[in-house]
Amino acid sequence: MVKTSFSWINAVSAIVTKDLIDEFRTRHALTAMILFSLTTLVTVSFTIGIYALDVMLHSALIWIIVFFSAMSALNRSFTKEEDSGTILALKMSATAETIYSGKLVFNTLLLLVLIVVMLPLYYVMMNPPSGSNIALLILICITGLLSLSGATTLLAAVVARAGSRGSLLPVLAFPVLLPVLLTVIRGTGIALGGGSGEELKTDFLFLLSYLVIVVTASLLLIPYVMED
Amino acid sequence: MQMSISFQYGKKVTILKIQYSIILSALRAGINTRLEQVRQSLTLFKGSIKMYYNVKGPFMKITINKLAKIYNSKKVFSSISWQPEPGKCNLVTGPNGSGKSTLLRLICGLEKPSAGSIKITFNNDELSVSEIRKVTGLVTPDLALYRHLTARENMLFFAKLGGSFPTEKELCEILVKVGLAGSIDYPLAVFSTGMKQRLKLAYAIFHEPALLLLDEPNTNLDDEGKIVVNSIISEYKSKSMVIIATNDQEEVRQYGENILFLDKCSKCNSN
Repeated sequence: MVKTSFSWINAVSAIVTKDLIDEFRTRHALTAMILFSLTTLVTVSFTIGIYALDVMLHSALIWIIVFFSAMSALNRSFTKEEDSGTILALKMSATAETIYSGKLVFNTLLLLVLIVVMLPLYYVMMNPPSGSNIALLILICITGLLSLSGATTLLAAVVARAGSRGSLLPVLAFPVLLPVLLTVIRGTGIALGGGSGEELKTDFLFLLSYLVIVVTASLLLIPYVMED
Repeated sequence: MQMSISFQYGKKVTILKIQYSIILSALRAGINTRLEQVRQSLTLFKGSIKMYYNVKGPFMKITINKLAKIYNSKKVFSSISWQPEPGKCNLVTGPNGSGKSTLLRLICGLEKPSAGSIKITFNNDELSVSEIRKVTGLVTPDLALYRHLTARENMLFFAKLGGSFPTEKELCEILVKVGLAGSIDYPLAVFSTGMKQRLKLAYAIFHEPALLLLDEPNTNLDDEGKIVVNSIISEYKSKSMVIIATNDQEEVRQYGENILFLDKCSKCNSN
């Protein structure tokens, strides 16, 4: 066997690759997430699509759809390992921090797919006001998704260890993610209204700080969540 | 205080234990540019690094002392004291619910004891939980591998997690050993329970563990599979520490050399 210098990076990439292959073959999370967002979008579009909404309302609608779609998919990231009994083999071969990092990367990729599919559909079906700052919109969405997956990954590990899993994740995640959701809704509203980067400077700073804090805290807490 | 770093070079697990105080004194001396002191500290630092190439079962020592496990106020067992012996087939037996599987999970650090202790040492140095897991191979009915991945993908995934990239030859060798050579590219979803058990055995011995924990290893296996288990036990008995949990009396007679008997009354006898 060949010596590996970057064993941590290799282990994280192994978990991400494994989850991608598993998801590609089963399409559980992706199907749940995309179908949830699609049905919500169609319902919203049929009911209020004919009205000219304020940019902030558009922004709130986008993030409500993203939040609940994400919860339906990210819920499974640790639960499927616990339910299938693979968590034992995983824990024997990798540290809790490595497992968290792998799941975080995979969850972020899932959310990126969601936004890539959902945002163009939203534009087609909901017809938001023209003159949006698209580059800024993409940037704020990516930053928001990173913060969202950072916090939700740890909570998904907590939920997987709990007895009653049902719809526990959105309930647990909502208070933790409220600051992110409020900031990202405001930021998306400004970007949809054609605002400049200068207006969103504090929002970006807040989201990045939140991301750093939440990932650091998660890396410190995950061994206790998974082992105790 | 000492810092412990463990990493894998091929199939060899290396553990470095470095004294913090010596690093700090070397840094402090370096800052103060006292060259002689730096040299002295570096000599001490070099001496403090203990390199354990290839943590091997025969040099491992497991001491179980007054161990107890309680789940939600239900006592599984209490006051277990036992010392598995290297070179022998260590066996834990007892009726259902006596805590055989729990004991194996406690040994490899997947659970924490409610009272008492398990001390695993190598060359008189205690191994941490992550170090123990790195040098342990575990087969238990609770453990499952990924059913949507093929046998090859499963083995490669766990090898990569352990920090190694096996060659095609090594991969084939291990799967031939457990009798799965023809099923290497099939997903586990189409495997029978016996084939899954064989793959679990391959997963457990793939990194040549220093400690092999087998919980009901013959479950769901045909006669040919049982021969595979026998050969694995014979092979690893001499080069690793092997602990088997079973309630099959035939297996107890066949394998048992150092036996721990657990009963539901939490009394235990070692023989």
